[in-house]
Amino acid sequence: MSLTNHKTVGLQYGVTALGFLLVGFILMILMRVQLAWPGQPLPAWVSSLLGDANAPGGIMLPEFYNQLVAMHGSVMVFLAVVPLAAGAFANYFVPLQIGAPDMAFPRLNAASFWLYLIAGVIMVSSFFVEGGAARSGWTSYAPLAVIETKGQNFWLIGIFLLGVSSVMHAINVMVTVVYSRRPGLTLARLPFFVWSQVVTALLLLLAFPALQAASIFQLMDRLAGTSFFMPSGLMVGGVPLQGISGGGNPLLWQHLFWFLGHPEVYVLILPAMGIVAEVITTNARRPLWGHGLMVAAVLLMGGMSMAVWAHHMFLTGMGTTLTSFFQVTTFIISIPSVILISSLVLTLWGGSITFNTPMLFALAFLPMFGIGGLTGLPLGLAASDVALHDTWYVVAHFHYLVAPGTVFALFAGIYHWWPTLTGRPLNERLGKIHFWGSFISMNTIFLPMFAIGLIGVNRRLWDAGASYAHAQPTLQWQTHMTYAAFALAAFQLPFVWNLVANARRKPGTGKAEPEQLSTAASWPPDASSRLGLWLYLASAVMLFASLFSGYVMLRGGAVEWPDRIGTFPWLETVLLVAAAATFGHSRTRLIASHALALTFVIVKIFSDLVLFDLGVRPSTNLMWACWFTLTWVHAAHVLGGAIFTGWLAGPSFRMGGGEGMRWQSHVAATRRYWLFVNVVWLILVVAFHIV
Amino acid sequence: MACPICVSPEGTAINNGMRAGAAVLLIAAVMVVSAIVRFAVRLWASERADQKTA
Repeated sequence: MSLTNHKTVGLQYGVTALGFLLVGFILMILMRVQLAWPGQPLPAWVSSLLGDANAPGGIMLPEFYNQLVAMHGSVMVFLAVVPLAAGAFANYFVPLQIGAPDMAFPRLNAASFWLYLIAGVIMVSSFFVEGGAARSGWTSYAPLAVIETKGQNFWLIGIFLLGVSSVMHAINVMVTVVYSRRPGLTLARLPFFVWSQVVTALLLLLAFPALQAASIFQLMDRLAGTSFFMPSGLMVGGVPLQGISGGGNPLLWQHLFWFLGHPEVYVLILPAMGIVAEVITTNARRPLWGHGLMVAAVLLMGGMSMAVWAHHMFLTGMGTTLTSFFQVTTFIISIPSVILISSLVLTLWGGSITFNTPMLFALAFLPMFGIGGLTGLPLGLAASDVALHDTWYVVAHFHYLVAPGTVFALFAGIYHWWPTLTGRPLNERLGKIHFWGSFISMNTIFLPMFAIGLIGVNRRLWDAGASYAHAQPTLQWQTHMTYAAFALAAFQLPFVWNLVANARRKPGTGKAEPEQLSTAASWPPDASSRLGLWLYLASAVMLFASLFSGYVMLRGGAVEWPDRIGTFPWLETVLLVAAAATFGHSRTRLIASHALALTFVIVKIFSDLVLFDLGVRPSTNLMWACWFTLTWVHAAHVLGGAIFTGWLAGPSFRMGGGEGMRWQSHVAATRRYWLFVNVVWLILVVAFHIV
Repeated sequence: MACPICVSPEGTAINNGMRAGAAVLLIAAVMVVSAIVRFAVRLWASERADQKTA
C-alpha cells in the first residue's frame, strides 16, 4: 500500500493518535498524583525525570502543574481524540462504506497527516524549551497567555498547523463523500456513520479558521508587541505592564477561541455517535431507528453548533443581549442531541442483542453521554453558570462527554472494526476486563467531581484546595480519584496487550482486502477539484471573517480610534486587480498574472518597509496592528495564488496539461480564487482607508 | 442600579464592539453554511430526479 492510500493514512492517524492519547494520559496521572498528595515529594524516579526546574526536591511546582493542565487538555482534544475519531476512522472506513477506491485527494490526505504529526511534535516538544510548555489552560486565555513563557509560541504554532491539517482533511472527506460514492448510493442512503463524519468535516472546515485567526493575533501580541488582547492599564504582579499600546480586548480571544471550541465538542461527539450507531445496529441486529431523523438532527446540530459559542463566556460580563441570545441557542441545540441519543436507544427495542465487547462500550456510551449532556444544562443557563463556572463540576461534565463518552465509542469502534484490519477479532475476555475495569474506574474518577464542584471548589487549584476551608472535605476524595486513575491505567494494559498480540499474529481469513472499485462515473471529471476549491474558499472566508470580526470588535469597542490611513494603496490595488483580470487559459496570461501578483507582494513589502522607516509599527496602535496583520495574511494568500499560477503556467503546462480537463479545471478554480483575494483586499482597503 | 462599569462610555463601547464583532462572525457563518446547504439541496434534488427517470 502506498503512503497516500486511505487505509495507510487512517492507520497512521490511528497509531499516532493512540500515542498522543498515552502522552495525555501520562500527563493526567502526574496531575492526579499532585492533587492527591499536594506538596509531598513525588517518587524519586518521577522527580528525576521531571528535573529540578519542575519539581525541586521532588515537590511539583505550581508552574509545572499548570503546564500539565494546559497540555493534557490540548493533547487529548487536538492531538488524540479528534485525530482518532475524525482522522483515523474517517480515512479508513468512509471510503470503504461508500465504495470509493480512495479519498478524493490522496496526496492532500497524506499531507494532512504529516502536518498533524509535525504540529503535535511541536506542541509536545515545548516541555523541553526554557520555561516549559504552555501553561494557560487548553483555552490559552489572554492576556495571561500573552505574557507567558516561550512554550506558548509552540502551542500557537502547533494549533495553527493543526488548523491547516484539519481543513485539508475536511475538504477531502466532504469531496470524497460527494463525488466518490458508488452509483445508487444516494445521499438519503448514506450510512449514518458517513453523515456523522461529513458534518464533523464541515465543522472543522468552518470553525478551525477562527482559532487560526486567534492564534495569529496572539502570536502578533507575543512576538510583534501588538495589543489585540491587551487592555490599557494592565497590571502584572502589581506593576503596570510596560511597552504595549493597550486598548485591546481579552474577550476577543474568547470569542474566537470558542467559535472553534464549541463546535470542537461536536467534532468529538459526532464521530462517536456514528461509531456507536454502527456497533449498535450490528449487535442488536436492527436497522437504525429513524435514520432520516438522525441525519436531520446531526445536520441541525452541526449548523447550530456555530451559534452557541459564547455560552462559555457568561461570566465575562459581555452584556445581556449576547447572553440571552446564546442561552437560547444553547437550549435549542439540546433538542437534536436528545433526538440522536433517543434514536440510538430505540434501535435497541426489540433487537436480539449480543453483549460483546464493542457492544458493551457502545451501550455504556449512551448513559455516559446522557450524564454529560444533562449536566451541561445548568451550565447553559447564565444564572446557574455563575455558581458552577470554573468549578470541578465543569470538569466532570465535559469529561463524561469525552472520556466515558467519546473515548468509549472509540474503543467500541476499535473492537468492532479490528477484524477488518487483521482478519481476526480481538480477544473477548481481555476486552471485557478492559471494559468493566475502565467503566468502573472512569466513573469513580469523574462522578465525585460533580459533588466537589457543587461544593464550590475551583478546578484550577494546584493543591486541590488544601488551603481553603470549604474544600477540606473533598481532599480525601481527590486521593480516591487518584487511586481510580491508577486502576484505569492498569485496565488499559489488557487492551494494549490485546492489540499487540493480535496484530503480531498472521492475518486471518476475515481481513478485508482492498477491492478495486471504480468511482461513480456520473460526475464530471473536474467536479472534485471544483468542489474542493469551493470548500477551501469557504474556509478562507471564515478565516478572513474571523480576522475582520477582530478588527470590528476592537474598532467598535474603542472610545477613540486613530485617524484612518491617509495614503490609499493605489499601486497594490491596481496590481491585484490586474493580476485577476489578466488571469486566463493562455500561457501568456498566466505568466502575466503570476508576475503581477508577485509584484503586488513585493510592492506590499516595500510599502511596509517605508512605513517602518517612518516609525510606524504593528505595535504603534490597534489600527496599525489590524492593518499589518490582516494585510500580511492577505499577502500570504496572494503569494500562494502567485505560486500556484506559476505552477499552472510552468511545470503543469509543460507536462502536457495545457489541453487536459484537469488543467482546465485548475485554471477555472484558480480564477475564482483570484476573485476572492481581490474582494478581500477591497474590503480591507475600504475599511481602513475610507470608512 | 445599573452597573457603573457597563454604563460608562468605555463599557458601552466595548459591549457595542463585541456585539458587532460577534455579528460579523455569525453572519459569515450563516452565509457560508447557507451556500453549503444550497449545494447539498441541489445535489439531493438532482439525485431524486435521476432516480425518478431511472
